[in-house]
Amino acid sequence: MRSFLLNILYFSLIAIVIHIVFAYCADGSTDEYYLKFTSSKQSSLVLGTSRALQGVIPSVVDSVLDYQSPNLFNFAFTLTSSPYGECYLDAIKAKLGNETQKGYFIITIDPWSISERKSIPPEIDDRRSVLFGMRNFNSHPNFEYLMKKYPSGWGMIPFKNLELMLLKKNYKKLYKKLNNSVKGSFTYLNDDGWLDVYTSLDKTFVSQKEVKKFSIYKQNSLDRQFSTYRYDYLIKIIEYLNSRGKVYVVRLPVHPEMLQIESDYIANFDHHISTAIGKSEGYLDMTTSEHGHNFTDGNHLSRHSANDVSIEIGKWISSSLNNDN
Amino acid sequence: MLFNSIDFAIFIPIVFGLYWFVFSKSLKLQNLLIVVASYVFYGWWDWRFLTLILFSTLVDFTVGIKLSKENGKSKRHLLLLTSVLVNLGFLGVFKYYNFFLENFTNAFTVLGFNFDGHSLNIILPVGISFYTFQTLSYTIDVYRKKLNPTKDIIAFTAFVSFFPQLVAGPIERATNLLPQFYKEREFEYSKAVDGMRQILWGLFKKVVIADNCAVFVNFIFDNSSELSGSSLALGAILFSFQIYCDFSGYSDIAIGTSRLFGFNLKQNFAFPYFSRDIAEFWRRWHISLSTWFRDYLYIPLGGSRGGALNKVRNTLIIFVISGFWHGANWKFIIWGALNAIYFLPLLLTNKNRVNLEIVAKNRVLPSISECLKMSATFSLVAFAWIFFRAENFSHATSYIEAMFSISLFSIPEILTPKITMVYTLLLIPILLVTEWLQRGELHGLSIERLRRPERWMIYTSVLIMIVTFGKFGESEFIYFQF
Repeated sequence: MRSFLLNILYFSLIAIVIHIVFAYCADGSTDEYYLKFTSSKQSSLVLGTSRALQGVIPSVVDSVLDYQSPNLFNFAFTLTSSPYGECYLDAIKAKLGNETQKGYFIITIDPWSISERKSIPPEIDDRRSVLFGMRNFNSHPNFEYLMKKYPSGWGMIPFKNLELMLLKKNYKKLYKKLNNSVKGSFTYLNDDGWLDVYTSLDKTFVSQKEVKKFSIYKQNSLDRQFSTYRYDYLIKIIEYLNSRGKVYVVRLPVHPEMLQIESDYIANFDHHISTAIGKSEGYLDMTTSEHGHNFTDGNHLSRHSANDVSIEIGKWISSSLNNDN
Repeated sequence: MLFNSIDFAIFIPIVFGLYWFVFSKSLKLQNLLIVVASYVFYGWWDWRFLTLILFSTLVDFTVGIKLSKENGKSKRHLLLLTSVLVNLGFLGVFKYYNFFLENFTNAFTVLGFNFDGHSLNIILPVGISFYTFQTLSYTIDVYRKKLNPTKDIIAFTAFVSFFPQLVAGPIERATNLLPQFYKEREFEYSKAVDGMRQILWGLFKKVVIADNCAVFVNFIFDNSSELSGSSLALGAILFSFQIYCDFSGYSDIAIGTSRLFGFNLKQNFAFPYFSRDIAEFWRRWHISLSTWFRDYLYIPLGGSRGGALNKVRNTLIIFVISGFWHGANWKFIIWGALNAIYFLPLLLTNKNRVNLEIVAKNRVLPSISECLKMSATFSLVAFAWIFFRAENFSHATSYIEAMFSISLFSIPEILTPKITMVYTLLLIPILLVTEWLQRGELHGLSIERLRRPERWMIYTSVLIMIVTFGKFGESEFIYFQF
């Protein structure tokens, strides 16, 4: 028995050491969320779903607002992981520093982030969220995240580092290819929480993705409904963040056809969320302008447009701050 | 509780420690611990269904005792019938009720009658098909006087609910497993170490091969109408590896875990994809179920005795029922019938027991003829798996129709994520080569003949492959649904 236990111990030690080494390699190439669980506690946040995850660049907003050091952090996830609800509120509380009093918060909203599936209560649906069951949001490496949420073996972490290094090294060549024949994409999560999506903007490729995305959202509009639960939590989040700084509500631009689907789904959306808007510093609806932005699939802004949109948001917040002064 | 979960990784050392260090002095306490651990293991999924196992256990235990006291043929028959009805009754209600209702309703509608039955909105208890067959083997063997009934309720409860093989087999015979609960068990180093090796190999098969194949199999079967014939053929091949590695991986972990506690379970898979004909395949695939049907159904029906018509009838019956055992869906019945059609020519020409030894015995490489036979058998099996994996019968037929189109000869679409596809296709040969070299052994990592540094190099390599390429989303084993 003794030698058996010793052998098991040796084997376990090998396994543990390998895992620790791999965990220290984890970075923005690991997956779309990891770094959001490893950064230190934050004072200013971008909140919302994947539109905000890809569409609001904190470093750009910070630079427009003349912040010398990183201030804003993108804490948006996806429609599955971060629709407004208790799960998201708890995560926000965990991510914010206790001393935060003068932060600024960009809350992005759209009809989907305050809706629920008809077939399942939102509290139950939120168990699918990457935030569900997480306690630790601020340590690097985040062993809890890797154990609970990382779907592959940890050996995939250095593998992904290597892959991304090669992709980035050949980015110029690849980008040319992406816009010509190669139909693919890769992502990198930046230190500020913004997800950089490198994907083809070839018109035919994008329009194929748009067709698929529009069909998914048309189906969503049948399967989903406005959620009082989620809307109440949106208000709770705004109220909570009001005690920590200034809250700005933004609706990000989308493709006109997507906007039409959303209008058909919840007509007069602004009226529906008027109470939430009333509790914030202001509301910027970017869907109404003739924006001319590019989208990767009709739903998410391209990298270039994300930059433009972030500048616009920064300027709007800046003017709002100036007006206050 | 899943074998590939953190819960199990915590659960097993606790039970192991209690079993060998706290309760090692008393056989009764060890058996009791197994019962408690097994009920915790099963209840982790849904504790409500423990009542089913408990009820089934009590009925069969009582029937066994009564059978030992009863000599009258009709009363013994009645007792057996009680056990069969209770066990198959549970199966019938939970697994087959809605299927029969739906088919009766359809049949009545076709005949012009309006029949409106109420379907049951119930979930299928995990592993019900496995433990009901295991307890049935006990009462049938006691009825046949092949086994003395037990008077030890704890040992019997432990036999029915033994956690390593409770939810997905191997389906153990009472004649093999039950007596092991009566004997003092001593820790055997070599047995435990080999058990650990088997667990390691089972994990490799499950989380590295099966779960990576699953990514593509799900995509291909979900989008079969949009993909080329060659991609669909690739889907069938990948599913063949997925189901083999998923199920045999489970069996390996179950058998390995049992060995840690001093138990020997029967081999459930004997490298079936190295079979040279379909009869050999069925001697090597899910052995515990095949032999169960052979002993408790095929032989009582007359087996291969009698005329050709009898042989055909009996073979068709066991293959169709075996298919139906897997699920209440016509696709499983067709899958079973298709395998019967593969098997019958061999049976009728008395060639079903030609390949009894392992392929290329005492040789490293197979002959060309053996290679061709193995490829042909694999192709037949992979083709039949399409019915098994498809959503339903019509999906399977449309899949096959699209597969046998001119695009079968095109290059398969490269499926995203590409990198996963590349390493999955590279890892399958590693599996095949390892299992080929080990085909005479009980499992793929039975390497006690090697020197210690070589063994440790292999353990570390397998561990690194698991850690690097494994999927750890706690995906369920396919056979849980049966």
